[in-house]
This record gives sequence, structure tokens and C-alpha cells, in this order.
Amino acid sequence: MIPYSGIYIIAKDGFDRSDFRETFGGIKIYRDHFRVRPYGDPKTSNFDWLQLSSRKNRSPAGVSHPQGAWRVRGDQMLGSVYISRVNITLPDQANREGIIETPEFGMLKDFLVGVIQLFERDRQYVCRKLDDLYKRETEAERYREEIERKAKAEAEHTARTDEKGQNPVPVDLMIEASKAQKVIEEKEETIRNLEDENRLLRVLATTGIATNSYIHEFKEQTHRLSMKIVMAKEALEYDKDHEEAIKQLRMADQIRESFTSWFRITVESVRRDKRSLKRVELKAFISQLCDAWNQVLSAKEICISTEYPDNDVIYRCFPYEIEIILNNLITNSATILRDLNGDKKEIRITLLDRQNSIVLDYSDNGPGLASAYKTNPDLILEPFESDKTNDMGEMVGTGMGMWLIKRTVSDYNGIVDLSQNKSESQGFFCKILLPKTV
Amino acid sequence: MYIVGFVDNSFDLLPDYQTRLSRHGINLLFPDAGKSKPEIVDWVLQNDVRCLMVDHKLRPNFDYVGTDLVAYINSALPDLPCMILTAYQQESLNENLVIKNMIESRDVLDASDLSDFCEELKQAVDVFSKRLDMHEAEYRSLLEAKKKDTISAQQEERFTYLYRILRAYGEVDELPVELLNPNIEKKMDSLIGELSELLTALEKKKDGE
Repeated sequence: MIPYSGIYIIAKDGFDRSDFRETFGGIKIYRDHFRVRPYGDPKTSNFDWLQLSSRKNRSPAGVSHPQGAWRVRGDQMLGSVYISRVNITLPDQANREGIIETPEFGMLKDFLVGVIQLFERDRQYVCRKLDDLYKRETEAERYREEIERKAKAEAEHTARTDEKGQNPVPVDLMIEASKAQKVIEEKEETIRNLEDENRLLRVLATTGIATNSYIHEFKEQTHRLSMKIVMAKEALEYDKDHEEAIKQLRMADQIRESFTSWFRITVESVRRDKRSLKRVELKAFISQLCDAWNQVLSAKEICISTEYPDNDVIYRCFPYEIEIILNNLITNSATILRDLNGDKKEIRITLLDRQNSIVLDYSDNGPGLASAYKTNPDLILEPFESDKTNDMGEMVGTGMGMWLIKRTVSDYNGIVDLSQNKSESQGFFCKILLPKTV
Repeated sequence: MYIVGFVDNSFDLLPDYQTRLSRHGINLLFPDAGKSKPEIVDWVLQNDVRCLMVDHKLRPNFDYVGTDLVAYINSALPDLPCMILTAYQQESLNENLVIKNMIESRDVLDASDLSDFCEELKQAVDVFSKRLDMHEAEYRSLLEAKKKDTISAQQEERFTYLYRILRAYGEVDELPVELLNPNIEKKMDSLIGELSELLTALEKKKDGE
């Protein structure tokens, strides 16, 4: 039985690799934590006692070679093998300069080489994959460079005219269509990846904005829930009043449901099934979203009312992008409305189905945009523009909500129309037009 | 029973707070919405509140924030212990109107064991009551001086202030109106008269020279 041995492969690009190798390189043997010389001693003939270098010579393939087996060199290894005096089949030589070459010692060497071979296979697997990727990417990159080089040469060539005033392009400056196609495909894939990443970041930003805006509401709801639970507990403990306890638990249950609605609005918006392009029935979708919002906003006496056409409204879109639009609008309105006195705090959402487009007509009955944005409401669509302030008049808004809406709508070639805010003294008005052909 | 007031924006949890605190011998009272700051002070005095907790976010039911109200009450009733009890601790701290030690998280009210917090409230009430006793002693000595007409103008003001506070808390009996009228005017007339005589004497002396 051979105790644990740690074997490391020195990274190819290691810092001060040669110094490190000379000091720590080689595979050393320790018996009961005492070095057994001369195994692994640098600059000695027993440094490479496993004969890794000769093994390498027999199979010289590079690490990314598609068929050949890559072998590690003796000077690329460092490690320690720990044995003990109980390994009686590995006795020391009489002159204390090594271990007697017993059959068991040979088995130990074979075992260590087998372990190293596993590491070699692992590394070669990864390097082959990286090499394939590199070739694919640099292939497109090579073609791109070739296209640029030839385009430049062509430009220089067309500047010179022959004696007949004609400039036929030499053949060697032509680009094969298949090569150009490869470059184009590679660029398109990059663009698609970036667009997907951008979409996901937008929905995460919306989630972050909503969570940040309502962090105090979360804390308040948590406090309410805790109060109801502790009241129920004390009703049983001190008053032995089961009815009171049940009443408190029922109230706790209602608060628990509001958490479910919060999660519906925030966390669930990044669910995988909402991130795929599909045909969405907007009436049901918006209705569900507004129901979730109504549950959380009812404590602040804010109500969302909706109006839909009679027919179903089918729209091909990413569902989470519709949520981005509505969640940001509702978050903004709710933040303003919750601090207002008054009987009716209302948000209105109307869905209109026109021949060539879908229209989301949004408004609230709050104080409207700040005077700085009244004359030019489109300014609020720029990033970092906000009129949300705290009681001390300090800007506390992120300035990203309306910008996220603008970016999302533009992906659909849509329009965000804020012009009604110029003429209305109260309330916030936003009309979003989404063309049906995406 | 220890009487503690709580000025809060939302009222739905106040009955629960009352129930919990009453189990520890504390009677929690809360004012109606819409009171101004002076009205809150009157409410404190009328209800014999000896320690006051205030939420930070009071809008829209009140026209000010909690730290504003505490700063106002501290000037009107300097000895009344006031504490901000809120979920918006950082906002309260940022306003720099109430010291950090007097800002507490509202979550303390939903703790399983309220004993420590209730002991703090009771100790605050005891401190205030002790100070009222000290004020009463001062008031009585000033009353004696007033009766003997040996009270100065500054002491007169102090006397009036102490009487108002102690009377509001029911610590002293009502005084006759005559004793409440300040002799300040009389003293000022006397001082002006003496000054006038001095000026006349100086002018005569100057003319004589």
C-alpha cells in the first residue's frame, strides 16, 4: 500500500519557472517524513528516476496533437511520494543512498507513471479542445486579415490607372466567397452572443432596480410577518387564546402571499422559459403580472387598472422583455405614489391591438415629471437621468429604468412616446408602440 | 404602568405593539395622524407620556420626518427621552438630528424576547421621572422666592417654564393667576426709572461744570 503522493505539473507560463523548477522540481521520496536521497535531487543523475524524459523521447507528440499521446518531461514535474518503515518491501540500500530495486519498487514506479499518464491524458484532452477553438477562431481571423490586406491593396491598385484608363482588379486580390462567408458567420455568432448577453443583463438590471426600490418594503413585510407569528405564539403561551392565535396566523398567511407576489415580480422574471422568443398572448400575460403587482401595492393603496381589447392579442417577443417594460414603469409610478396623500392612487394600463402594431398606453395619477423634464420628457430616457429624490431632496434614483425601456423597445423597432407629458400638468403618460413584424 | 408614546406612520401593527408591551407593564399610546409638531407636544403633555418613540418615515400621514419631530420635541421638552424606531436607520443617521444611540431598528419589536428592550424603555421613563422631581424641587424654591418678591427676571422665566411642564405632568397644583403674572414689567419700570434718575443727575453735573 503506497500512501498519498502529490504530483504537480508546472504551469507552462509559470513565473520564475526555471528557479522554481531547480529548487522544487523532481519527484522526491520521503520515508517517515525524511528525504530518501537521491531521488528527485536536481542536477543529479537520479533526478529523473522515473525516466520520464526517455518516455517523452519515445512519444514526442505535442500536447495538442490530434492523434499522438503527449508525454511530460522529467523537468516539468514536481511531487512527493510518502512511504514509511512499514513498507518493508521497499528497504533502503546498505549505503543509505537509495532504495533497493525490489520488484515492489518497480511496481511503485509503474504505479506513479500510470498516475502521471492520467494527468497527461487530462491535459491533452483540454489542450486539444483549446487548439480546435483557436483554429476555428483564428481561421476566421486569418481570413479577416486576408480580406483587409487585399482590400487595402485593391484600393492602392485602383489609384493607379493603366494606359487605357482601366483598372482591372488582379486575380490575386480577389477573395474567395467561402472565406468571406466564414468571417461573416463568425461575426454574426459574436453579435448574437452579445445580444443575448445584453438581454439577460437588462432583465437582471430591472430585477436589481425593483429590488433596490422596494428593499424597505421587503423589510417591512418581513417585520409584519415576524410580528404576526410572535403574536400568535404569545396568544397561545400567555393567554391560551386559540382563536386569537388562529387570527394572527391567518394574517401571517396573507403576508406570506405578498412575498410570493414579490418573487413573481423580481426573481421569476429571469426564469429560463421567459428568455426564449415565442408567441405570447399579451392579455393573459399582462393580466397576471398586474395581479402580482396589485397584491404587493395594495398595502400602499395603489391600484393598477387594466383595459384590453375583446380579442386575444398575440405578439412574438421575449416575455421577460415585456416584463422589463412594465416593471420599470410600475416601479417608477409606485415610488412616487406611495408617499402621496389622497384617496385614489392609480396606475392605468391599456393594451391596444392595431393592424400593424401593439400599443401599451400607460399612465398614473401622480404629480408627473419634474419641471426639468416637462418641456423635454425624452430626456428621461437617457441613462442616469432621474427625478426620484428622498425627503432631503437628494437624488436617489438609479436613472436606468426608462433607459432600459427605451433599449428594449428599440430592439423591436418600437417607439416610446412621452409627448403627452408636455401638455398635462399632473400624471405621467407613456405610450409604447411595438410593430407587429419583428 | 409606564406610559410610552409612539408616533408612527402606519397604524395596523400598533395594536400588536400595545399588546406585547402591556405584558411588560408598558402602556403604549399613539397620536392620530395629521398632528403638527406643537400638537404632538401638547398630546405628549396631555397624556403624561414619559418616553417617546418616533418612526422616521412619517409621510404622508404627517408633514415631517421623525428626526425633525424629535429635534423639535428636544427643544420644547429637553428632558423627555426620545428614540427613533424605524426600518430606515441609515436615513435617520444621515440627517444628523438624532444621535446614533437613540436610533433603534423597528425589528426589536418583533423579537421573541422583549424584556431587554422594555427594561430600556422603563429606565428611560424612570430617568425622566427623576428629572421631573429635580425640576419640582427647583420650582418650589423659585416659588418661595417669588412669594418673597426676591426672584430675578431670569429666574422668573425659568419659574414659568418649570410650572408649565410640571403642571402639564400633574406634578404641581395650579397656581393663582396673580402669582403667575410676571413681575418683570414692574422690575423693568423700576430699572428704567433708576436709569433715568442717573442720567438726569449726570446731565446736571455736566451742566454745572
